Amino acid sequence: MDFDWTADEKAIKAKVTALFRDADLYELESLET
Amino acid sequence: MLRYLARLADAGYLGLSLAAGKETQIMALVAAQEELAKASSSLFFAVESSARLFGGLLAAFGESEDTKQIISALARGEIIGAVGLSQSEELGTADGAAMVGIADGDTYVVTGRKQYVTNAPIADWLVVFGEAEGRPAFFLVREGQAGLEIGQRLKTLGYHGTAVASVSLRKVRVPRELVLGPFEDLSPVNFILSVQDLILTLASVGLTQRTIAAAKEHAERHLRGGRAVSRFQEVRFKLAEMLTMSQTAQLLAFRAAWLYAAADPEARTVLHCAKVFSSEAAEQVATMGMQIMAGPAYISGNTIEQAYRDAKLAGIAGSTCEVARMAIADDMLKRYRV
Repeated sequence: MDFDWTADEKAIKAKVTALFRDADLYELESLET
Repeated sequence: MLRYLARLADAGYLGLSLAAGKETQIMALVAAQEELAKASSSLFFAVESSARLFGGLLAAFGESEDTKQIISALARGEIIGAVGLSQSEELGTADGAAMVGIADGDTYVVTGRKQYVTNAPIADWLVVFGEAEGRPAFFLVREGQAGLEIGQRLKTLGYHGTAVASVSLRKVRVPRELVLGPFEDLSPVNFILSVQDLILTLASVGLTQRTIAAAKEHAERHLRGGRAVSRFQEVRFKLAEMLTMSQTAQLLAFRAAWLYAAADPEARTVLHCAKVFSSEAAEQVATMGMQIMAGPAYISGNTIEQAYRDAKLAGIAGSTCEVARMAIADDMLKRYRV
């Protein structure tokens, strides 16, 4: 997947969200990360 | 962190620079940064410290083939970088904390210590600020190099997923091609401080958004007297205030980034304004989130409790709110166009 850096703000943010869709976001904050 | 670096690298997130002159690109990048900060404070700060702080410094001031190869590896998500930075007042002191490189043929022999270095325990490469030949310089050292010692990972109030430790150099030999500088003035330090302040500003904006999402969800689901607490005026006013602060912080952050990319002379002032406002907004939004969620928010292991801890960092890291306010006033009184 690649960003379209000319896309609008919402499209770019949706791409970032998609990158971490399967991630446990709270787990990212653990001391073991 | 490593497993998520690959995803960000594939997306092209790691290769973009905060360098001036690319207004369109920087606005897209800032939008992406804000969203990553909303997803995870720790991941965002660790990634940005590597890609934008470490990578940005090398991209702006590194001239050797070695630094170009390191930048490419960073953009591919193969390595992690760290920056050991201290205030300029440290230069020339003999308290043992200063980082001094003594020229010895084609190398500098570097000795000194940095107390708090983000990413130090996981970094493949570190760049430490110091002086060479009496002038500001950055020394690039590789993990495991003789004389380089990384301290124990420090326990921090927030940002639990970000690794921070001290870094000590004892007579570490750094080839001249791995030294940025020596520079005539502190402009490279000011560059890196601006990048750091923008990162911390966006971290705060993302944090307000994450807090608001958690508070809203709780307010809609949690009942008091048979009614969702979101029906109570006191809670609605708090939610409105939280969103207003978040939107204002976001707008100011975007404006600061735009001015920075346009190399506008007022960029530094507006960036200080953005950092002060966003870091204090993140604290206030977290506090209001706590009030809305009440008891459950005080139990460790939830988004708002985490935000309450994380919010404090931005006001005391980089340009502290006090230093930023002094700089804003100085600049305003000297030349700012009101």
